[in-house]
Amino acid sequence: MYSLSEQQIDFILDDIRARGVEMESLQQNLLDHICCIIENDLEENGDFEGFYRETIRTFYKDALWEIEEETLQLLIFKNYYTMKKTMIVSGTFSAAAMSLGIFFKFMHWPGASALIILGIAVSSLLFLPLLFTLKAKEKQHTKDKIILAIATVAGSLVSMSILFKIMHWPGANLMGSIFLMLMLLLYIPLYFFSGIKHPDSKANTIVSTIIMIMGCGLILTLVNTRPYIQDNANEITNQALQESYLSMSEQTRLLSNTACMALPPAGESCSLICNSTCDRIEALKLKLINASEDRQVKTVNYNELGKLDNFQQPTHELFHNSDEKPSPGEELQNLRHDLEKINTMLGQKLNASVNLIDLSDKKNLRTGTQESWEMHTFYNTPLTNVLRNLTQLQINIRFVQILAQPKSLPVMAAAEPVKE
Amino acid sequence: MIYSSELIKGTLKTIVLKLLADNKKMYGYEITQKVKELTFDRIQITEGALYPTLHALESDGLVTTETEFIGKRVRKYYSLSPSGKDKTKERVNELADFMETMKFLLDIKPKNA
Repeated sequence: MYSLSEQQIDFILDDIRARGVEMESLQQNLLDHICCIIENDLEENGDFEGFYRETIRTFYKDALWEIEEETLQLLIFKNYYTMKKTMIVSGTFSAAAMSLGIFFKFMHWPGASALIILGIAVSSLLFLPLLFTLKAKEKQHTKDKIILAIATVAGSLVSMSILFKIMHWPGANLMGSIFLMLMLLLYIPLYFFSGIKHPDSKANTIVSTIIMIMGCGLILTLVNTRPYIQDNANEITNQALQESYLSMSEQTRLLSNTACMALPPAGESCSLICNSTCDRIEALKLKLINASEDRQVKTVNYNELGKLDNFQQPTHELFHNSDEKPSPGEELQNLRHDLEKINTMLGQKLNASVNLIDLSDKKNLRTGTQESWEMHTFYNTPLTNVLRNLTQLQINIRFVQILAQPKSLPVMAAAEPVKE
Repeated sequence: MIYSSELIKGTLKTIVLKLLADNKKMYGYEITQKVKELTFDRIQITEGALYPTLHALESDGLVTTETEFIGKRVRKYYSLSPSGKDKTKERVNELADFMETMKFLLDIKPKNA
């Protein structure tokens, strides 16, 4: 009867671990087993290490980790039916959720995106991996398993890529391209050459290969054309906005010239306030444009103007930064002050019964509440609209200024919008 | 004569279950020794077959385990769960039935007939 020291027990445990057994309960079982054998069969002053090496050798054919592999195989086989059931249920569920989501999307019903995300997530994170695990067990050769793994990764990639594409999330094209490379450079050649060898599967292989190449072609179209259309749309929108802005600027310039030319000495204070307000607005426009330069206005996605992000730049520049109760900044306060002055001075002169420049509260069409003129005109408004609104103000001021001049009407007729 | 591992593999679960039914609680080494003793060394269960089987039985819920510290090492005792007890009867009957069928199929005459 041999008695084991603590060091020897540690030595055995370390050796079992070093031989690749990772499950702790299995390590403990094997440790106890070997210790029992040594204690029972080794003489009191026998050679511990030599005996241990001989004993452990009888536990396996090629390596000790075979025992762990065998254990895992048995455990997985036990879960085989559960896995198969889960696979079928998750597959059916994700297919149903996806089709329903696409239908909802067509009908513009709420919940479409949630359904599509759910469907694709379940399919690429649960269904495909399960399918791979179950199918890989049936395959004997490592090569077949590799082909299967590539197919699984490719399947996950293509469904995620389509999901990202329809949600306008970044990275969709990258995933689509990786999928195409996987398919065209790895999977299809591997599949084709392994299938074509067997006479039984030859015809099938050729047909499936052609269908897969066609599918890849369709996805390639999807990956490549979308951004082009989007860029194009941006360009057109940009151009339209720019043209309308230019024509408005031209109107302002003409009106401003007319106003200055017809400047009578009596109206000096009126003209002064009008001119200084227009200059103030011009400076504000320049400031906004300058501030937006490093924010890459060019990359603003006009499809997403409904999202708040693109609205924040003018808001950020013009309002005090407070989420709970935004208040107009100094520039807007000065602007309102000037405009009110114009209203009083020119209003008296023209005997106007209403304010010449409307600064009253307005109803927010989205929330239905009343809000101040500043909020209504500049808060959470895209930069292009803010610039447009400011230019409109300049036009209005010049218009009022001309109205206040004696004999201004004939001059007005000349101030038609100019086209190049 | 030592039986081939193929023959033992199909019956190992039944052997382990029956031993646990007769001996309340046992640990791995004890099981191998008991089988050796009962079969006069004709059936030798390898460690590579025994432990995977024990783990599978445990995850099936047929056996329960309790651990005991022997100095620095841990000994895991296995015993039958209630569902394991039913399963044992079922498996033993099934195997007995199977042996009858095999006798018939392979046309084995009883020795003393």
